[in-house]
Amino acid sequence: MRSRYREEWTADLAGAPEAGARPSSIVAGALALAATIDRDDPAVSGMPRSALAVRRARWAAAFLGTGLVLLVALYLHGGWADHYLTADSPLFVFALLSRALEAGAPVAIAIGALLLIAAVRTALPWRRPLGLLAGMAVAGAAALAVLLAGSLVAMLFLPVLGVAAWGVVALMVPAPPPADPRRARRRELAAAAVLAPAVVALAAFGVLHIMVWNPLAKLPGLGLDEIYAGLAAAGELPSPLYLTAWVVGAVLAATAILLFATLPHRRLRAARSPQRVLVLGLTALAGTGFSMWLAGFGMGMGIADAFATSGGDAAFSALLPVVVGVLAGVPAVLLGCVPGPRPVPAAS
Amino acid sequence: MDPLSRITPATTDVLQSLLGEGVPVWGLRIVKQTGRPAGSVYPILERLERAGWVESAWEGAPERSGPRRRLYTLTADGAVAARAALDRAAARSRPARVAGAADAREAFA
Repeated sequence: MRSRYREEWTADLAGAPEAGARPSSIVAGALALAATIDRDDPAVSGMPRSALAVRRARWAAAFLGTGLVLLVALYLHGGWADHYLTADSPLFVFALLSRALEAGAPVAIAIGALLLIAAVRTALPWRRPLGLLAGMAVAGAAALAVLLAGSLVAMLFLPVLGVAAWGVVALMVPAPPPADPRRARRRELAAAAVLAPAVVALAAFGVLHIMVWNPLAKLPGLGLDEIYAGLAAAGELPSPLYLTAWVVGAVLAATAILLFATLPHRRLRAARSPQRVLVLGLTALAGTGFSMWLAGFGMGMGIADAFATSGGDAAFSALLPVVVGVLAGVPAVLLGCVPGPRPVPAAS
Repeated sequence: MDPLSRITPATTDVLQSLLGEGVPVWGLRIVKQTGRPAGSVYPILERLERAGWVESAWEGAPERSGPRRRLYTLTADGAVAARAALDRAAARSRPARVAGAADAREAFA
């Protein structure tokens, strides 16, 4: 339909002088038609209403997910950006980028909400989306509240939970058969071989940040031995449980990526594609980056109580997991949610 | 073929133009004949086509090079419905004209 009108309007523009019409009038006509055409009509969209609704829902999820990733990043590093938003700061560009994210997050969420309304309108013939959307919003908020209030330990396993969620979706919806199976297989293995170790490396980086770099940065002048002795003397040595659980979660997620990419099981083969392995790996990476703050929470509070200082991060190394979270999380959402090209309709 | 939910004066003009031509006609020619802006005519043609009143096709073997023009014509059912719609529109406007003429006569009497 798009190619038809594109050619029709181009021909009209070319013939406007012959017809005594102004080119601006043709442009106005094209805009008026684009604004008023019934995009839900299968003849216009080239696909059934149900498929169109799913397509719009996937775009909505892409925008909402992107907005959510940006919001999480802002929540985790917003204070840093405020501190470094001066022209002579070494992190000025980072702070400026953070400000751009602040503007981008609500825009992405607003676009996602509009697309969600469009998807619901397309899916429901009775066209009463507001009630349903309100219901969905309440149900979503309740689920989120349960997740948040239920257990912080669950959030420590963010990479595993993310990988499991994408994995279930992948197992339910078979991947399209690749044009070149051998090339696709190589890409799947390459993605897993890069991303699974990257997840473990990020967890190792996090352990060093929490246990070594951040304590040293928070308490300048003190050695690591003195810091740990002070913590022990004050009875503030943090339980290793959270940090261990976080590392175990990251390792489990990395293992799941390798298993998904390599096991010869029939269901897994049907669910597998290079894009899906990439999405799993990026999700695990983002989950690991975004959940690091929780793994270091006990240590931060222990230092705060034992040495009468703040519990927040002081070392620059705190920024890397957040930056990795954004750089992996946004592509994971986009690769996982954005639908493929529209089906090409028969020539008319 | 689906009935139209509303037939505006601009729709009436487009139907009149299509009926008058009798052969497939270029969309921009309808714009010129009706004197309506393309911003009105294009959406009307799309609505008529979607409702099955009008069908369109690319011009065959154009002498010009470049993009092809889209030609519109009324379907058989569309032509019948278009005549009926024009008759109804004429009937609606007639009493108003008669009343208007009576008012004018009274004013000059």
